[in-house]
Amino acid sequence: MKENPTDKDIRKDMMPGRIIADGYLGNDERSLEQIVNEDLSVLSSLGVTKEQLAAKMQHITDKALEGFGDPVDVDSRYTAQVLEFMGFLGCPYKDGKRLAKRNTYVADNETGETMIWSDMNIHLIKNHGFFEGKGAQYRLDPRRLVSFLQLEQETE
Amino acid sequence: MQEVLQTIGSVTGISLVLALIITLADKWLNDYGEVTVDINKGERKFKTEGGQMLLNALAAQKIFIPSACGGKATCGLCKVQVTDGAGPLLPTEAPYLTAKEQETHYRLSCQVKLKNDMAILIPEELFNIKEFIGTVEQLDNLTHDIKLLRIKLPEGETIKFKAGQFVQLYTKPYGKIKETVFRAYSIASPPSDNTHVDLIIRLVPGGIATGYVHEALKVGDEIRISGPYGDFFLRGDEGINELVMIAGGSGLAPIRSLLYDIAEKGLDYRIRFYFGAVAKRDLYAEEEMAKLEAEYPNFKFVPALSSPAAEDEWDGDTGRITEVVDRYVENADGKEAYLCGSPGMLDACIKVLHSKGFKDDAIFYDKF
Repeated sequence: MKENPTDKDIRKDMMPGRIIADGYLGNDERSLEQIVNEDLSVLSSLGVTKEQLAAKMQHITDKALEGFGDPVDVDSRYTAQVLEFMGFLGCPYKDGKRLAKRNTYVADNETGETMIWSDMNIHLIKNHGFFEGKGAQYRLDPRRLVSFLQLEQETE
Repeated sequence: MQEVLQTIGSVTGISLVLALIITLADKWLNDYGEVTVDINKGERKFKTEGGQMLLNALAAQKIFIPSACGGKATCGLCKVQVTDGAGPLLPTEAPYLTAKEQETHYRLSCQVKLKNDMAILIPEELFNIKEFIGTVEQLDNLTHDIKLLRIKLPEGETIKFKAGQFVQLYTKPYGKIKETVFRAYSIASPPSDNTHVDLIIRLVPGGIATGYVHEALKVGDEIRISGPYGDFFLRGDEGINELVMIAGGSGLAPIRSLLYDIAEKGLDYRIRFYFGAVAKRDLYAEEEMAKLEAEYPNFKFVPALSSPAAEDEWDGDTGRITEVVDRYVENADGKEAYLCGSPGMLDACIKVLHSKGFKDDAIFYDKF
C-alpha cells in the first residue's frame, strides 16, 4: 500500500535515532496504515476498543506513579512500578503532544506474566491506534495486551 | 510474449518519467533560494539557504538558542520573537506559547522554516553562548545507570556560567543512529573550574544521547558542547537564609554545582539537600557530600531510600522523597527551594512545598 506524504513524514520520525534510539517500526515493512489497521482489526475481533485498552493502561500507570519508583499493588492483581527520567518526547504523529519519559513495568501476580509500556505507548494506542511495528523495542501485541489486562473477560 | 515485454517496458518507462517529474517538482517547489535573517533590528544580519529550520540556521551562525529536546518541539525552550516572515503558527508550537507570547509573535525556532526573509528579536545574552570542542577526560560509573562525564575544554578556552545552568551536548552518529542530535544537561562542576564541564548523565532506555554517552563515548574522545543556557541559578533574595534543595537521580548535577559555588564563595545559608533514591545502588556522591558537610557546617545532606534492599544495611532516612521533605521542612519562612529531577518527582515535591507555604516565586527548577 502506498503512503501519503504525511505518513512518509511521520514514518521518517519513527526511524531509529529520530525520537528514540531504536525507533518505532522495528523491522516491519508494512505501511503505517496497514500496521494500524491490522492491529485495530485484532482489537475489534476481541471486542475491545483502543480507548478501553489505553484507559486500563493509564489506570495502572497512574496507580504505579504513587510509588515514586517503588512497586505498587494495583487492584490486588498486578504489581506495577514506574521508572521516570528527565525530559520529554514529542509524538511522532506531530500532534503537539509531549510525553514524559516514563516506563511502567507491570507483573500479573496470578500468572507471573510481565509487560512494559511507556507513556508514549498509551498515547499512540489511544490517539493513533498504533501499537508500533513488529520488532520494535516497545511494540505491544494487541492480543497479548488485551489478555494481560483481562479486558476480554470484561467485555464478554 | 513480445507484447507482454512491451507493456512492461512502457509501464516502467512511464513510471520513471513520472518519478523524474515528481523529483524535479519537489526540488523546485521546496527551493526557497537564499534568504536574509535580520537579528535585533539590523544589529546583525546573515544570508543563508532557505528551507532550513530557524534554530539550525542560527546555530550555523554560532548563535545558540536554548533547546533541551534537540529541535523536536517537546521542551519549548527555543522561543524567539519573529517580527516578520514566519508564516502562521503551527499546531506543534501552540502548546508552548501563552496567549501573550502568541500575540507578541513568539515562535519555537525549531519549528519555523526559513522560506523568505525574516526578522527576529533575541535577548542580547544569547550572543555570549559559545561552542566548545572538548575532550572526554573522565567517564566514571556513579551507579548502575548513572555516569559522570568530565569534559576538558580546549587549551586556552574557558566557560563562564552561573552554577545551575546547563549545556547542550551534541552526539555523533553511532550504531543505528545516523544523525547528530543534541540534548540539555545541567553542569555539575562549579563555575570556578572554568576549563572543565562535568555532566551527570543517567541512561534512559531507548535514549539517543544518553545511549551515546553510556555506550559509545570513550575517554579521549572529542565532544562538542555549547552553552551556558538557562535561568536555574541561585537567587538568594533579600531575607532568605535557608536553601531547601531536592533532587533525585541525575538531578544531583546542578545542585552539586550550586553547593560548591556557595561553599567557595562562603555564602552564609543554612542548606538542607534532600536526595531521593530507591535503594543503595541508586545512591552516589555520599563521600563528596560528607566532605562538603565537613567544610561547610551549615550544610546537611539528607539521602533517603524509599525501598532499601536487605543487604543495604541502611540506617539513614527512609521513605519517598516527598515524605522526607514533608517530615523535615517545617515552613517556608526565609527559604528558597531548588529542585531537579523527573517531571513526576518535581510535581509531587512542589505540591509538598506549597503545603508548607512556599510561593511559586521561591521555588526554582528546570523542567526538561
